[in-house]
Amino acid sequence: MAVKSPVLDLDAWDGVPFPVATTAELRRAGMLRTRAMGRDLLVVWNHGAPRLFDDVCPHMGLPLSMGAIDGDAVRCRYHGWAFSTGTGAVTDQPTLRKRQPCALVRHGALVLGGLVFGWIGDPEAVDAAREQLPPQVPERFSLHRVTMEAPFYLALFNAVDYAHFSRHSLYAPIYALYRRLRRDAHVPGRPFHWRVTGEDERAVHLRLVEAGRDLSMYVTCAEFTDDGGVNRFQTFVTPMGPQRTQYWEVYSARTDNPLVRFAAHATFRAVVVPLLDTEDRDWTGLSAANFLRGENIHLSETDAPLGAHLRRFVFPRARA
Amino acid sequence: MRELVLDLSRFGDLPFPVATVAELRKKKMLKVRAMDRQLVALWNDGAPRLFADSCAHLGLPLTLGTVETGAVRCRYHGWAFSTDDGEVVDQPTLRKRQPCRLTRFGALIAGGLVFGWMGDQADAASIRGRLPAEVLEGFSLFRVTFRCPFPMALFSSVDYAHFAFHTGYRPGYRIYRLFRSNDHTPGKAFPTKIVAEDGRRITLRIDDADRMIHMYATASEMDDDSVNFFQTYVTPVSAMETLYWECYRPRGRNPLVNLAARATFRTVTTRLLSGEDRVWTAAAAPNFTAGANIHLSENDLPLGAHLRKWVLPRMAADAP
Repeated sequence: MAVKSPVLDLDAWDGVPFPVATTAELRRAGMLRTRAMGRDLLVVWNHGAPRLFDDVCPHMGLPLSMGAIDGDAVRCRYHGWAFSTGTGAVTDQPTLRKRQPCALVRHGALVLGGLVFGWIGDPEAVDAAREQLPPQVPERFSLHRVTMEAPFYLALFNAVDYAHFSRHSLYAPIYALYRRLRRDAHVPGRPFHWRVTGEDERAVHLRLVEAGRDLSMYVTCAEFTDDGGVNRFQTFVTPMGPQRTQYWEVYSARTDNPLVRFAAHATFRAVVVPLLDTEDRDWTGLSAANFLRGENIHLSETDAPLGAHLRRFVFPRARA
Repeated sequence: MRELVLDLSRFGDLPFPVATVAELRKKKMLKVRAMDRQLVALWNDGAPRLFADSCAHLGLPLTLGTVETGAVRCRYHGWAFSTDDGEVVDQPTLRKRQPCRLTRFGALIAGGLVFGWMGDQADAASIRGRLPAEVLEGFSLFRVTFRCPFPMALFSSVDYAHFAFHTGYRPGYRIYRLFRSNDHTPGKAFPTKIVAEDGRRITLRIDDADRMIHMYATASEMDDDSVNFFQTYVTPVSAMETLYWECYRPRGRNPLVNLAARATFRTVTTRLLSGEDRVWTAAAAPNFTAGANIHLSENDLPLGAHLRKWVLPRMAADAP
C-alpha cells in the first residue's frame, strides 16, 4: 500500500489525553512545565488533583513556570500576580488598587496509576479522556523518556514494530538467551503477520500470531504483552509538535518473583533504554522526513499496527 | 540585474557529478546531496545507479544500510533492493513478496567521474551531450562546498579578473609568467569575446592572456595555452548551496614540470579555493541573488552568457 502520509494538524486533537508527568515527580516538584500539542503548558500538583494550564500569565504573558507555588496559588515572577492552582482564577494583584478579574487558560488533567495525563480543551471532560486510555496504568514502573523527531504515530509504531527488533545491533546473542525463556520459537527477523482480534471504543487489538504477542493500539498508547512472558510494555506518546514527539516507555514486569522482577527491570535499563536512545530515535527521525513526503512509501502486513492506528485515529483528524 | 532565485526542479535535465569513478568503485555506495534531495549512488558492478536515499518501506535512508551482492539492504527492517533496477528482492519478515521499488534517477560514467541527473536513464545519450566531450581522467581533484547558486560557483573558476586579488598572487604570477607565451598581468584591463556557441557549450577567449574558456551548463574549462588545464564541475545542492569540483591535469611534456604543477595545485589553488573563493562567493551571494544594485561588466561575460543560455530561460514564469 502506498500511503499519502498525514501531516498532523494538532488543533484537531482536543480532548485526546497525553502524559505530562509522572505522579511522583509532580508531587515532589509542585509544578512542571511541559510541551505538548504545539503549546507550552504548566501542570500543577494542586494537592493531588492536578491541573493543566497554558504556561502564560494573563497579565503580560511571562511563563508561569518561571514563578513559584505559593500556598494554593502560583505566583508570577514578573509582577507578582497570583492565580488559584485549583481554578486558575486570579487571587492576588499586589500592585493594583482594585482587583482586575482574569484567569489562566485551563485544560484538562487526570491521574491514572503512576502517570498524570493532560488534554487540550474542556477540563470537565475527564470521563471522555479516561476512556481513551488503557484501563490500567501501573503505579510502579521503570520509565524511559526520549524525544523523537517524528509525528507521534510513527514514534508509537516504533514501540511495537516487531519486524525491526532483529535489526538492532547485538540482537542475536540477546534473542538467543531470550528464546530459552520463551515457549514459542519464533525468531524475530523471519516472516510473521498480525491479526486484528478486536476493536472497541478505546483501542484496536492485534495479535502477532507466530510469536504469541498481544497488542492494543490506543490513540496515544501502545500496550504490548507476550504470552507466558514477564514483559509488559506500555508506550505513551505526547505530541509536542507535528513532527516532534515525547516518547514514554513504561515497563513493568508481570511476576511476583522479586529476583525475576529485578533481572527484567535491569535488562530494560541495560538493553532497551540504550536502543531507544540511539537506533530507535535515529531511525524514526531519519525516516520521518521521507515518510511524510510519502512519494514512495509502502506499508506492509508487518506494519498492520501502524495502518490500524492511522485508520482509526489519525486519518479522521487529518488535514484535508 | 534581476533577482536570481533558482528553482532546482527546473534543472532536471542537467548532469552533475556525484562521485569519482574510483571512490564509488571502492565504496560501492555513497550518500549524495543534490537538487534539493538526498540521493544514494551505487556502483552496481560498473554500471552506476542513482536512487532517492529513501527505503520504499518506511523511508529510512538506504545509506544507513549495507550493499550485498547485487542488492542494497535497509538497516531498518532488512528489505533489500536490486542495485540495478531498484526492484525489491527480499523482504525477510513478509510471508509474501510485496512489489515496490526505489525511486530511480539517471546516472552515467564519463572520464573519471560519475554523473547523475534528475530524470530518466533512457535520456543518457542526450544528457552526455551536455558535458565536455572529453571528461578528464587522472586528474587532481579538490571539492569544496560553496554557499551560493551554482552559476556563481561555476563563474568563480573562470573569473580571470579576480585572480589578481588573491592573497600572495604577486610572487606566484612572477614565476608563472616565466612559463607563459604572453606577458598579460592579471589585474590589468582585458576584453573577453565569444568565439563560438553550440548546444553543448559557449566558447570565449581572453586574447590578451591567451586563455580559452568553455562554459557548459554545469561545467567550465580554462585552457591557458600552456601547461594548465582546469575542468570545473558544479553539483547544485540547493538554491544557495553548490558542491564545487576542481579537476586539474597538467599537460606538460616534462614529467617533472607536471609534478611541480600538481604540487602547486595542491598547495596554492586548493588553498585559494577554500580560503578565499569559498568565502567571497558566500559573502556575495545574498546580495547578488537579491540583485538590487548589481552590475555585470564586460569581464563577466562568461557568467552573463551562462545565465542567458541555461538559467534565465528556466526562471520565466511559464518555463517547464
